[in-house]
Amino acid sequence: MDKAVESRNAAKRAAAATPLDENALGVGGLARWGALGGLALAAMGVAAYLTYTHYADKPVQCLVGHECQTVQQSEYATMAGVPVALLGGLAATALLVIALSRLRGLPLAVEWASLAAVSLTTMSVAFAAYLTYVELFVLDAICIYCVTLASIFTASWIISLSDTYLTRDISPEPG
Amino acid sequence: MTKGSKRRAKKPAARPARPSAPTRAGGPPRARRPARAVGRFRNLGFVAALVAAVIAAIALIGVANLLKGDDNGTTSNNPIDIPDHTAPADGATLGMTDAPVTIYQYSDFQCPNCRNAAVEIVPSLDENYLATGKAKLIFKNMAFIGQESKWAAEAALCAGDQGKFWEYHNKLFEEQDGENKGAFKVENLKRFAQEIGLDEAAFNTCFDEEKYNAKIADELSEAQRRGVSGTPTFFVGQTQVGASYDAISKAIDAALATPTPEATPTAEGTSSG
Repeated sequence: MDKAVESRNAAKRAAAATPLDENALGVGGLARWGALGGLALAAMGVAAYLTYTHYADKPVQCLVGHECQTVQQSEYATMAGVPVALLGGLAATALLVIALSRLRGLPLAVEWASLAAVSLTTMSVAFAAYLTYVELFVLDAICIYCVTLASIFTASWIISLSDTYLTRDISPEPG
Repeated sequence: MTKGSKRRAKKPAARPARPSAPTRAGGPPRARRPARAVGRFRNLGFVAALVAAVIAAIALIGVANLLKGDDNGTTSNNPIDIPDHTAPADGATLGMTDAPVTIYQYSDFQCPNCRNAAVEIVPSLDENYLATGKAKLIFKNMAFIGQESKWAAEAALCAGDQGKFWEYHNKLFEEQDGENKGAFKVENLKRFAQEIGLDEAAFNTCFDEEKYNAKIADELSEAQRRGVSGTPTFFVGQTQVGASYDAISKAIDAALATPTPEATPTAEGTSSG
């Protein structure tokens, strides 16, 4: 009898210890949102460097290749005086906020994070693709930092899409 | 629900039912169910959001094109703005006169790779070596591409008389457009002088009287004697180095590390205007 009670109590404790399951991320979910957060941080770093060199009027040090200045000083690097890199940094910051909110399990994020991430990364990838086109076919010069940001946004986009595909529905099945 | 089933821990009654969990007892364990996830893809709202994102991106691209930066009124295909240098200038020398290492650059203002050097290499050299007094850069004209090269070189040296050789150097490379196609015809060169704020009368006199005609010819001969076969060509001290920031900075660092003072070529001293 004791053993049965004990095991029932243990089961109750385990149940109580289980977090709200519908908000919890499995290992895959943790990996995806963690990756999105990490990628967003990396993008913020690169964007911060490009924004800083723009406003401080310092040359961009090309770690790979030798055409960074050509790209960063071109007319395509700014929009109404604001460096395009700053826009990328803002998008990355938004992505970081979404990822952190989802990892934290905030109710709004649980519902909308996946969709928000897909929308944001789709926009970012499309814009990055345009800028890459400009680099390749208009400026005929490649900047490693732009390539890095484009790659980060592409990876984020793929991860966001896969998250949407792999996550269980959290809305009730109709009918 | 079979009370005996221990497949899942029992939930307290007060907890809300997991919306994703089947309401029937003893349903399938928590696991991915692709059929449902695909259902999300077909969800109209999700597709609408994706489409909206793409449309927003296209709009953003359009706006970006409208608002892109000022192209400085150049006719060049790749409008560019070369930042002003930080290091002090003395004629065609950029950097402090007592800097221990001397870099020589042979360039033609019409040469596209020289333009790349002006955009990519010189600003980094300026920031890392010239402004800090570790090295100085002496610009040598190898004006070989055509008549416009010679005119541009003379104009730059005339600008150097007014202490603005390097501003004019930047201006020339910003305005570079083709070789011997009229980008550096005389009236343009005089307009550049006006646009960077030179004393037009003094500049025009210097240019029209061909003050630096002989000097340009001498520098070209000197370059050919040194075996310079293309532009841009860089020397750190006596040694020719590859035309890349990496190669030049390595050579400068090596020269700085050696205790003996580096020998500068005796044939020419620092050329100042």
